[in-house]
Amino acid sequence: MNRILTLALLVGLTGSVATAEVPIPADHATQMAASQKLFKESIRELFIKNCLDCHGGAKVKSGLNLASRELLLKGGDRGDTVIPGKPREGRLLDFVTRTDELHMPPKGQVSKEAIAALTKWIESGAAYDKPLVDTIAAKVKQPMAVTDKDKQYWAYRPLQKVEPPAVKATGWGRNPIDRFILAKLEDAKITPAADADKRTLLRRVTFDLTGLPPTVDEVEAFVADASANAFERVVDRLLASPAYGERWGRHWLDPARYAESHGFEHDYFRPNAYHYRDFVVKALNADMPYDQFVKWQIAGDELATNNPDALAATGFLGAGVFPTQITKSEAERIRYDAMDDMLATTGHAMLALTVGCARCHDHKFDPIPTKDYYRLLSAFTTTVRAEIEYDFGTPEQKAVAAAFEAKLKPLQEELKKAKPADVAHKELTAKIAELEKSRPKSTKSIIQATTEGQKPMRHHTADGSIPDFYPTTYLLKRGDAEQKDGVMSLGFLQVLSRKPETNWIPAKPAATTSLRRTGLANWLTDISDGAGGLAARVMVNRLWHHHFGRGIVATLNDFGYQSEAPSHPELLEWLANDLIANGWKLKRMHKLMVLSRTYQQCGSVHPADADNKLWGQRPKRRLEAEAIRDNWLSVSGQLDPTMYGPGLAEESMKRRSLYFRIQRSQLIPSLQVFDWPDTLTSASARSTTTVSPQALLFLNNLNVRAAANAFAAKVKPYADKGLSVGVEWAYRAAYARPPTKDETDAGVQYLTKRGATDGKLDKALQEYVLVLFSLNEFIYLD
Amino acid sequence: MNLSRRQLLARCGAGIGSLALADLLARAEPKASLNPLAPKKAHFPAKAKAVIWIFVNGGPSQVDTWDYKPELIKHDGKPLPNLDKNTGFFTDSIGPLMKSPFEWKQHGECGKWASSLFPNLAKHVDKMAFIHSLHTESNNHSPALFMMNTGVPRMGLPSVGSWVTYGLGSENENLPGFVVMSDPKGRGLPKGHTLNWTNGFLPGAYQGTWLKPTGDAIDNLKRPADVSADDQESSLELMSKLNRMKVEASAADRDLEARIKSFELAYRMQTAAPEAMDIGKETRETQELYGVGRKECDPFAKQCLTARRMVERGVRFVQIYSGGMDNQLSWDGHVDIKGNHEGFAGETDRPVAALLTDLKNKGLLDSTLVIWAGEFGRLPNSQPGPKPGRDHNPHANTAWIAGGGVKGGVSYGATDEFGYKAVTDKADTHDFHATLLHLLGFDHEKLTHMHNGRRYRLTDVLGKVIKPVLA
Repeated sequence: MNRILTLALLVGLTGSVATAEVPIPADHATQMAASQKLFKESIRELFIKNCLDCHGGAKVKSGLNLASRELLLKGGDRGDTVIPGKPREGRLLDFVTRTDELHMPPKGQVSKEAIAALTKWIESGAAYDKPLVDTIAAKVKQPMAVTDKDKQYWAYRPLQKVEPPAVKATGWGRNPIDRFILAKLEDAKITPAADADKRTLLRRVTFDLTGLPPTVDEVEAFVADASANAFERVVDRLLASPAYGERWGRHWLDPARYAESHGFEHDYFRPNAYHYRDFVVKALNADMPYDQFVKWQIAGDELATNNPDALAATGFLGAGVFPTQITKSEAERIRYDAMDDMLATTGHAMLALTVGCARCHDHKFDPIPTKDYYRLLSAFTTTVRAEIEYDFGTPEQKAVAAAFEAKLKPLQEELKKAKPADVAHKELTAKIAELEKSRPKSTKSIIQATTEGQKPMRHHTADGSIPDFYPTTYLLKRGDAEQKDGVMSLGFLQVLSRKPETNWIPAKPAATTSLRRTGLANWLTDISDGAGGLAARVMVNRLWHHHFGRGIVATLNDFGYQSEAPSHPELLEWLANDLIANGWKLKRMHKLMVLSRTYQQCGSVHPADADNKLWGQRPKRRLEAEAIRDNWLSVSGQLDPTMYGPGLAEESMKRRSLYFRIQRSQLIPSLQVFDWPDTLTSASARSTTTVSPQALLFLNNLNVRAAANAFAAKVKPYADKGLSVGVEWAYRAAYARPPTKDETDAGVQYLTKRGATDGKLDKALQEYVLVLFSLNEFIYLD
Repeated sequence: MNLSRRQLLARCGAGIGSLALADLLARAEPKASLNPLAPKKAHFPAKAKAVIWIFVNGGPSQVDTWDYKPELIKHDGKPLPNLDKNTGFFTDSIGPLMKSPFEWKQHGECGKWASSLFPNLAKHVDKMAFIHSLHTESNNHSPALFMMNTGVPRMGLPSVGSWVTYGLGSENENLPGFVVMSDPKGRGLPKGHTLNWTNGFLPGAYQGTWLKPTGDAIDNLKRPADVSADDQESSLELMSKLNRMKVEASAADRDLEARIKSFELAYRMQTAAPEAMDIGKETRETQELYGVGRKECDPFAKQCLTARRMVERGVRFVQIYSGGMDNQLSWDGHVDIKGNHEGFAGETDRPVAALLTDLKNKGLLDSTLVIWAGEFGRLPNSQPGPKPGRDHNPHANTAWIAGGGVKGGVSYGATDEFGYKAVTDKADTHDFHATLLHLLGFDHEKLTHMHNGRRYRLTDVLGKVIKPVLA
């Protein structure tokens, strides 16, 4: 409707443009006077209310300043904004009528009347009576100023204390989350959906918390358990399962753009990068407080020295791409690229901020001046990837190793003394060989960390002629390493700082590291004066997204001015406060979310809220790539539950998909086909596409077929008792529910037709269960 | 076994209330994202509907191919004034100016000068628009390849082919929309590997499908030996039946239609894709035109012929890489520029010329944009050695385009007298991309995708259409 209106408006205009073609019309003065009048009547107020803040007041975004006519007519970075007499040729009308990709003002369209007035005003000459700001004095392209108003934006302000709202249906909710949800549903006169049945609920929560399907026994036990806290006990069991860390670790690896290779031309493998993935899994399983989780990834090497987990955590910073064929003329730019990768990823993953956008110019939308960017960037000035050997042995293992060495050493000493011809020499050699058989397995491993003061990691063809880092970080004009503009020292985003930077930066560097990253980590998690409130909001939103299918803020990696506003801002505040108040513990937050009644609804669609913006229902969701593959491995009994360690490259491997080796140029095809992230930059919510290569995978892929065959072998003993018994058990194993009568009939009919009676039951079952794998229900969660 | 969509639907729907289902699904209004490859309209009408890009991988030398420089002959052996020794990859191996080792002649009505490397392609100069003033940001292969393919010298942004399929969808639902062929002679992928045809942050459906030169061209396309078409048909039938039971039992399922369809497509792709790749279906005459069976050019001839078959069947974007990864295994003639370029020109000249002829004869050239371009050019200087070569040069690069919407026989922009740097009407990669998108009907500023808080486009914040090459 809007679009049609706009078009009509624009078409109508073309006629009048023609009359304005004449250079100086005879009635110029009259027109300009009329134009001035129009300006005073309707344009001045419109500009001041909607535009001036960003275009001529405190800021001049996109180079566009409309504080005076002269400045307005200069246009902005996007070219001419207003051409007097030619409303259609400047871009202002495109912006406000929203025919351009850029919508202005960003929040809320101006009225039809205002657009008509603007058009008329531009047509008549776009006159001003006087500038909008008193002291303009050539204020074009001033450095961006971060204002108090910026600091009051919902994402940047300190956490607000909120109480759950009152609701009418006081009996519905189970915890405070439900009150926030129900209040909005009641406002919209929508009744929440009914509760999901127990089987659906168990399959849902088991996948959500562990990424795996429930077993037949687990389903039946839960269905049979009539106690009031049956569901709560299931949730506790799942949260205590090691599979929880594997599931949620993978969720975190998306924004962390985790992979194990350099990328670019040769894509060299990083054999010791997997320790970071293991750290993430371990930390989540141990319920490490989220603030510590963040701090260790930024500065674990500085905050917990000699702790291998803290060291491995810093793998976060170094997981990005890095070119391996660098010409001298590019070396410095590439170092800035590498630091930018660390900062941009930190910005997206921890703060949902597009900090990287301020690299070449002040941020176009958010209050992030280029200077803030480079000050933050300097946190990584001397930070490099380094490979550090560490003994992971338990004290017992270390004692065993020491005891072994103690036995071995004297024999070796004696051997040195003996002459090769002696009998003693022969005996000793044999003894040593015998002893070597009992050598305990080495517990030493090399960790790829991101740290300072250690030998920088270089791929094997790098000769060291390119500096690993440059000792000073400069502000680069337009992001160009040839245009240095002043040395930058560590500082933080003004919009998220309520104290000077010295509040967070340690006064003195440590012996081997600068502690700049410690300063950054302190600021990131400081809830009263730094970015901690935002960090908490961002994380509870990620949890919400994975449990409820969409974030309270839909754009998980961007909370800035371009993002959609939170659908339930009070709930977001309440959850963030609750996370912090309870020691940043994530497991507790998971529990709160899945125990809410909101989570436990069934999927019936309410026509008044078909997109489920209010969460008055539970629409089905497709499983992620890893969960789809883990599902067929699990259901078929093929899943190897071994945890941790180097990743595996073979697609036929049977461990959870988390343990694939992630080489950037050789991503795993059967995961890629289900929208696996590209690992190059911080990934936000994954997309869900339905394309035929996915179907080809289910039809022909040998690994999927192997799983189907294994599943068929499990179904076989039941099928031997009767085809309907086999069908029933297969449904319970694959979908956590018994089949309907129609489904049983269809299965029995198929198996019979495909030769079950001719002794070809095995083959028929294999094809049948492959069909079950291929059905929507297998890869969707109700 | 060839089963039409209608047959399949009729078969699967038999007796299980397909009308009721259709009604349910219609009311459910499937999300637009569900069939990401459905054909879409561009911003404005355009002639070109499909693209075949011959990627001249490794950096073809402009002064030895299409950018005629008589001054270079005159100054052979003299130093290049104002040479920045950081221009190429090697800073310590820079010789004097070196004339082209090839003969040059004028061709066609337009009188285009071309080197003797392309006796066949030279016959088509009146169809081509040459851009001599291209330049890029990196003097290094993979960043320059990424620049040419994605518009930034870093890895990971969506490639041109992905943007085009994102914008236009595909005309044939039984085949991938964006297809890539790489060197079939075991010389490897271009530097940067598959990231040269990545979908980046665009949905996975827009990723280039790499036809692997050995083994099965497309993953999971082949039925296992012990599974017959009949088996699969029965399975699909059962699948539809069971999927629909579930949907009838619960509320409308918005994702179901797309998924059922994806299985039908997959089933048909098993026959459609091998059929599209089966050049044995072509006449002997056509095969000979491309040079199939000729020692010097057989593999590339087959790829060009496959490309034509793909485009004919509605594939949107085909990219064929000439050459593989390392020096000398692509157009990267650091050593022996003469031998290197003769080899790769020999592999491609006849097939690409045949492609233009064949497209024209079949009436497809008007709707197909053919691109001949690599990631950068080469220095007019020699890289010394017993057989001299030439080093990389980001400052000058020549490309030509032909077909849909292109004005033939024109040359746009110019390099300096020696071919060292683009000087007249300089065109950067963004301009090149803006022009390609324009030829396909897109305003490059409006083909955008929101990602991590920013509306991205192929041309970043730059790019202007090179109008003189438009018909």
